[in-house]
Amino acid sequence: MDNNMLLRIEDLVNNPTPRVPICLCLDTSGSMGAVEGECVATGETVYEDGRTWNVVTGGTSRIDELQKGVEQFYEAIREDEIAVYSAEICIITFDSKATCVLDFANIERQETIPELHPVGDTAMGEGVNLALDLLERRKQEYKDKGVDYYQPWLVLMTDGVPNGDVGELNRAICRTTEMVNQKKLTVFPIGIGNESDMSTLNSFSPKRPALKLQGMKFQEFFAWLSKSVSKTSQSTPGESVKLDVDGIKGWAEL
Amino acid sequence: MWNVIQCAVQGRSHIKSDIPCQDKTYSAIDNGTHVIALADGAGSARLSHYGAETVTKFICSELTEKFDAYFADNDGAAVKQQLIKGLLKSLTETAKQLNCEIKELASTLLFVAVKNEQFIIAHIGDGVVGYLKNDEMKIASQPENGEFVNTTVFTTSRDAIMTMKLMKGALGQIQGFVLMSDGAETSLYSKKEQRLADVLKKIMQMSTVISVAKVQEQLTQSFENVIVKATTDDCSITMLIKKNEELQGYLQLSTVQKCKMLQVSTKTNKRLIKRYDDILVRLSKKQSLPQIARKIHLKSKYTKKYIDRLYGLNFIEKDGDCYRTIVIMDNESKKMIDKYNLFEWCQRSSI
Repeated sequence: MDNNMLLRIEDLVNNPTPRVPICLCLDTSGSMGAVEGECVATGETVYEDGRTWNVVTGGTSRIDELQKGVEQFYEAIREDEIAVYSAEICIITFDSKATCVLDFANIERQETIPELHPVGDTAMGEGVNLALDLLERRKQEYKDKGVDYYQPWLVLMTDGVPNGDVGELNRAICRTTEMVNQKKLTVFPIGIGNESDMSTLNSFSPKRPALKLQGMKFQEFFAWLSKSVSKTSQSTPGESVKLDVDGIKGWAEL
Repeated sequence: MWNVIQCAVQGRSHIKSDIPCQDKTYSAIDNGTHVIALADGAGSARLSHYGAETVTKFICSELTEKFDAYFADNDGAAVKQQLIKGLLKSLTETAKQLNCEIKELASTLLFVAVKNEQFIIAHIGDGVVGYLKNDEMKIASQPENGEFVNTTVFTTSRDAIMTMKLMKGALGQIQGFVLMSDGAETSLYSKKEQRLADVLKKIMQMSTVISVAKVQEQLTQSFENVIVKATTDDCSITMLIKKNEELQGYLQLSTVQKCKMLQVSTKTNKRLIKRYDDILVRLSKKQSLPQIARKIHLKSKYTKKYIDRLYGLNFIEKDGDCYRTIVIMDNESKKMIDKYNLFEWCQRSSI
């Protein structure tokens, strides 16, 4: 018996794939230019992001590794047959101000990842508030267009202490914790390097502690993140997507 | 009388991770009551396929037994309470047998019960309940998902009674009902337009002119080959369709009625209709295209056009290089098919 079918592809309705909105809220303050590995001091110093830095040549900067990690994240999502149609990513950077450097769109339309440059202070509160605003706006767009969606994700990565507006920071913490407690947001606060303010990062995450990146393992983190997105995009009602704790050990200090 | 068609197919992600199909359908006929039920086991609940089976079987037995009492009760809240109480009791028994917690048996639940000229519909969670009335597909109950697509309400949820939808009424011009899980919903229900795919009407109408067993067979093939490809989730559907008691077979129809079934203009030349009749009669025995072309004295390439149309309408089926008529042709074949359907019904419903 072949092809005796009552239903053919042309008979079906075309519902859009449910989306997983993900906002990467990334610290691009001056301290993200900090270098690890073999490097040579030039003797020059520069004051930025609340402290004095030695200018060096060589080595690998945090921002370069972060850039590579984000690019790898996109690559992994593109290679996943489900996530490529469901994940929608937005990139917010925060230095002395918050900027949306890449707005929400289908991955296939985001061909180029903007280059990240370390400069200025750490306006974390402003960055998170902008991220939450854009997530809200995206959800409304989904509702208006009849597109189903999963709980949004906020990935917050920083290597320092917030030094933007205190009121904005407190507002960002309140908004985030309220949404997490109401099960309206999944948040991943990630500390980079030894100077990251883990207690502030923890205050963004009422349900699980913030994680600290081991050294410069950005690529390991983003590989884990893409796998988690893939899992979520295939989850069905009642299926709580559990974090791959063993996977976390590969890139974070628990 | 009513026909039942149902199928539940394991989704791609469950095949990959070796998880059983968590969608279950069940039907029953007793005391002049027909009931169809469908349940979609919760993704994270380890034994939800047992829960789905338990609630579909319970609800079919409960409604065939107590349809009149439920229908007569005008206190909807009391009916909901009674149904939930019964569901939880049956789930508790299953949980005891499986030595698990009741939440491990969580599932959605959709059902339709019909007796004489009355119906009862109930719905907990996602999935869709639809019906065919005056040849138009309509929605009786939409999915209850909450804000996020991977959240819904289950039979074991605290708010099950709050979100449960319950309806009753007179059948009037209703020709059939359909229940589907969220997996099937992906392909057969437009969320934006809140509309069911027109093909469901075709399936319901088809089941009144070809044998239910044949519709069942083709529907399952369609789900296995087309519907599951649009999602990673399990997919299931069940339909309750009023039998066309007046239909005595295709050959007994007037030319106008035949035109309607063949989906051609009523002004179509009678010789053309006769050609279709001829092919259908000759294909009551399996034949290849050259064989049938020879018999109707028409070149194969022209005969193929007629064959393709009949095949597209599901009046004939393909078996290798051969074709065979499956549409009910006359009273004799109808009687045989009815007898066969009854046998099939008894087997599927375990009565």
